[in-house]
Amino acid sequence: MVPVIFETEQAIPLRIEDLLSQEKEDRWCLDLYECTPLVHGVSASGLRALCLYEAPDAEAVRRAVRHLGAPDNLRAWTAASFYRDGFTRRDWPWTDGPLAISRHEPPAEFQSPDVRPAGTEAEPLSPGNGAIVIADFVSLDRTRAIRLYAAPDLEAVRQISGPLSRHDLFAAVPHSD
Amino acid sequence: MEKEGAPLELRLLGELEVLRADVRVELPPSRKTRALLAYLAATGRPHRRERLCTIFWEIPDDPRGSLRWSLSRLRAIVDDSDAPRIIADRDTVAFDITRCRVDVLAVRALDAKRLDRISTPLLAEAADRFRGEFLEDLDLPRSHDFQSWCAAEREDLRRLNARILAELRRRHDADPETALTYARRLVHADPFNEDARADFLRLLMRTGRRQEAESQFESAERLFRELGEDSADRLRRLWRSERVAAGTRAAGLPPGPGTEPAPSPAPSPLPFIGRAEAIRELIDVVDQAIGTLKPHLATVLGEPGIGKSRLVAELAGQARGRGVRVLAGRSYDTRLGAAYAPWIEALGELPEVEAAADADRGRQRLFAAIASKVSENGRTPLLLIFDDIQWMDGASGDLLQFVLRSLHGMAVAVILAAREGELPDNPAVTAMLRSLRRDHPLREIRLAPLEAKDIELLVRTTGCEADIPRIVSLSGGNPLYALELSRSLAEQPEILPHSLKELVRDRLERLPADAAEILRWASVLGPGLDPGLIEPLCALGPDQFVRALESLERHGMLYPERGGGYAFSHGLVHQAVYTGLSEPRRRLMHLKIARLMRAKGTDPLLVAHHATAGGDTEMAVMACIEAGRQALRLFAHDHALLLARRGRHYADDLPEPTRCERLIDLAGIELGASPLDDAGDISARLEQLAETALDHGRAECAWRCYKMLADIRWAKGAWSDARRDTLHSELVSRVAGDGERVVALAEAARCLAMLERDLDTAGALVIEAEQLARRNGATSTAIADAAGLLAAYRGQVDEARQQFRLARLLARQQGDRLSEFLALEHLATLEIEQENWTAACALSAELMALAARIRPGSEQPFAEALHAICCEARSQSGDLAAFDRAMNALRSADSKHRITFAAVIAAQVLLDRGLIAPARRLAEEALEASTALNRRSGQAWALAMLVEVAYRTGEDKRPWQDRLRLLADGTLAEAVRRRAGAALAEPAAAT
Repeated sequence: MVPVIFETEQAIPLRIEDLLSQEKEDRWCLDLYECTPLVHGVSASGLRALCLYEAPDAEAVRRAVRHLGAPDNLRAWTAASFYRDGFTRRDWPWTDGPLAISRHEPPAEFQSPDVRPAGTEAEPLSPGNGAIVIADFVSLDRTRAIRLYAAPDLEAVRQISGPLSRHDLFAAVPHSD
Repeated sequence: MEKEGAPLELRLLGELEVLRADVRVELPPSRKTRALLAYLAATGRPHRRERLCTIFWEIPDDPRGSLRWSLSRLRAIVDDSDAPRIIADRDTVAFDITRCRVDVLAVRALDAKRLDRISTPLLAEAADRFRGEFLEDLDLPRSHDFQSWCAAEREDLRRLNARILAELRRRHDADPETALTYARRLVHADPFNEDARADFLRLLMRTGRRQEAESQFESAERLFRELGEDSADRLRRLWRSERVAAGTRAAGLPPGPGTEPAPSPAPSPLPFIGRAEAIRELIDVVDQAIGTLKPHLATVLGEPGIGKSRLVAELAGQARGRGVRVLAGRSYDTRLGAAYAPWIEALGELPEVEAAADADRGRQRLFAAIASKVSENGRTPLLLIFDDIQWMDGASGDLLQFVLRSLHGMAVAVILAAREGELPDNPAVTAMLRSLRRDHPLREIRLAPLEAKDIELLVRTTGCEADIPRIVSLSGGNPLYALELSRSLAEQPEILPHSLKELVRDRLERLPADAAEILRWASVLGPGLDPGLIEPLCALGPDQFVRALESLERHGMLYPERGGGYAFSHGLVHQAVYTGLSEPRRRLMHLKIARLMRAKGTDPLLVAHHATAGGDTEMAVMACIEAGRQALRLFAHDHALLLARRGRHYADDLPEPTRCERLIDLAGIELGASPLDDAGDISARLEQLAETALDHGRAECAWRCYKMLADIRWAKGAWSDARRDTLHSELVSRVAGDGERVVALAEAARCLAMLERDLDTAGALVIEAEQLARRNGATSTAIADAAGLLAAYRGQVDEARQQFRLARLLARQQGDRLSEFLALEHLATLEIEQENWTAACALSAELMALAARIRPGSEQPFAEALHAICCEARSQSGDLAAFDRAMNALRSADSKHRITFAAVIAAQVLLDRGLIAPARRLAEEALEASTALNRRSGQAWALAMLVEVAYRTGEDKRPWQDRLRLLADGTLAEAVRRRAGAALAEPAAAT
């Protein structure tokens, strides 16, 4: 299984509750394709949704997720995951509090295709404002990435990541049945 | 031919008789042949051959051949050389009634509505034609069409007889003795007619027959209690008033002389008389088995009552005395040939076995366990005795053959006793005997009538002092007949009985009322008499019950068996008592027994038998379902099939939607009992039942039909029914309207088909979606796409192509570009699998154009990869740069299924060009990708490529073949299966 990031754009602003309720409609198909949802996020603008799955491949997520708008607006990509600060996949959902996601260019240390995830070797990033970086997820072609945080709010994330468009900053929650 | 040219007469009212010039003609022993004659004569019109085959030969072996055989036997009896009566051509068969007398047609010719206008002599002649019930004792329990027709005719004629007798009784009011004759016959024909019963009692009193009146009242009271207390109460009131009018007192009348027949001496086991040659032969069979340590068999054949059972019982006794282990069982007609009945009787019970993955293995396990039980004292010689095998069920026959094949180095003798004339009516047993004759030494011992001196000796041993020479003469050497005659003549020397049946019935009439009542109930219950069941039915106190049983023993009607039960002294005695009951009375008794057994949780097979005979349709159907499922658990498939068909016949009378539900249950049993490639008729019925279920809003019943249809059409999937049902429930519960439901079901079917998972569920969902779409006028491209994928999986290329084209057209019409791409992709990959490179090139070019217009994903690189490799396959240019670029993009997009396909096709093309190294890399990549997805067909194809690579390079290909073999044991797409087969068949490479 691999991490797969699923993104979509919406014409009408979406709330996270709507995202979760619509996701339930596809649960049967996600199960068929063996896609396990981990995190769901909605951008500060409300016009983008972003979800983290674990799946056999990106195609499985593309085929299974149908509820989030027209097929042309869906994008799924397989990522390499780089966990930080003692976090691992097994620790999901990693925190009791809220999550956040930022979407950006891959961090420099991960831009080379030769860099492979090898455990939690990255330095912890905890600037003391309550935001903790959990992991980076970088596309296989190293052209895009997201960063997952445990953060009390989006402002705490901005303080770490620098200025980000409202479309690229997501309030997120771990998946729950 | 018997007295050819003499006038022919057929008598169907009573036992079937054929007479020429008033002399009885011997009929063929086959019941079906006799029933066929009766059916043709009674209906008096031509019938199609297929229809006759369906009526009489339900389980097809060679029904047309059996019909021809029966007709040839009948022609020998009824045809004259210048005037045939069996008129048959290629299509139809008829009996020419114009030149013969048929009693039933003569009575039907009376104007039943105007009996009062018919002369008394003519009416009396008509009444005298009723020698008994229509086609008495000619039942074919396995042929329910015939049974239904016969039951209807019996009832109709019974009513006519009752009306004729009532009219005759009325006309003789001034002549009580003659009136009594007709009244007596009337209460027999119409036992539940309160007025007729009351009139009969009244006439008995008027003619001074008070004791008989008392006895008849007691019997009638018990009978009427079955109808209800009101009926019994009315009878009691009438009886009281009659007794008062007659000036007698009811209680305390001493029994008059001669009212109870003097019982025969208490029966002791009859000595073995005669049959010296036969017993010597049978002992020799046992000795041969002991000497050779191999199975030796013998059949003991003869007419009913000739002494087969006594002979084999004698053999069993002598064998036990010599230290031989004896296992004995018999088959019974009234139990409809219950599965394994003779084996259960022989062994006590069947061993329990663990459930198996499929029916064949389960049956093997059961048979092996039984064979092990049979051979447990391996060094002790074994004698297996099976009596009345003319009624043996197919499963018991299969088991016998299996057991004999399994017993190695063991002394086994098998004795099979049968009524030879009835063997042809049981194709399963005749096939078994043919097979046994081929495989083992088998002797046939035919029992001829006993010599006069032996009959005399037999009769003398009973202490009979009646006219022995007369008995010897009348019995014709039949020991049973001789014994019954000796008992009857001892009681009533003046009687001249016509048949064994008459003898028995005559004795029955003279038994004490309680004993006669028990005997009647016993005859309806079945051959093994369980006092625990009879007592509540007879409503006798415990003391009365015990006294009555003792009386029956003394009269030689019953004998005690091991285990505390009783049995009739002979099957013919049982039959005589049973067929002496009128049809309505029998029906009521069967019904009461069915209800009692159901309440007690008795074997559902017995409940089914009594419920069907009692006419309780719903109980009969439920019991057939339960008994059918039980038969499946015991792998008695023929029996399960018989029960399912019988249940279907009765289910047709139920109201909807119950009828539909029960028919679906029965279809499930038929499916479990039939080979899947013989399930065409069941498919058609299931489709119709699904429609009916939907008409009545029973969607869950329709879903059961779809599941069964999918099981018929595709191999069973890995999912359990529970998981399949959960998916279905989730799909249909989330959507409100039928249109949405069509889409949901179709999409789910396509998902499963694309994933190659649980294809039978995919099939069931497609069928349901198709039906819903038809009913609602909805369309979904996913239905056609899924159907195409399933067809392609099964190797039905043309159908798949057609479905994919339809899916593409629908998607285009609906503006669904992604679905259009999928359909086009499936079409292109189909052509590639068939190596139609020109068509594949064109389609892949269209794919590229379409991919440019849909979302970024794996579609564009996949289309490009396909197009590149198709062009390379055609042109062999060697320029694979475009393919390499496309594959890199496809890897970034991470669509492992498409990676697998593109890589394995490319590997094939490169291998064909001799480019081994890149072919190997691509095949390995395909294997890795398909393994990550757990796609069997992808893995098998990649492994087939790697086998080929190893073969070309001289490497050891066995590791690849071993992995491939594991996959090839399961289900694979047909196109892959062929490639896998070729890879596994290749000669071993040098290592």
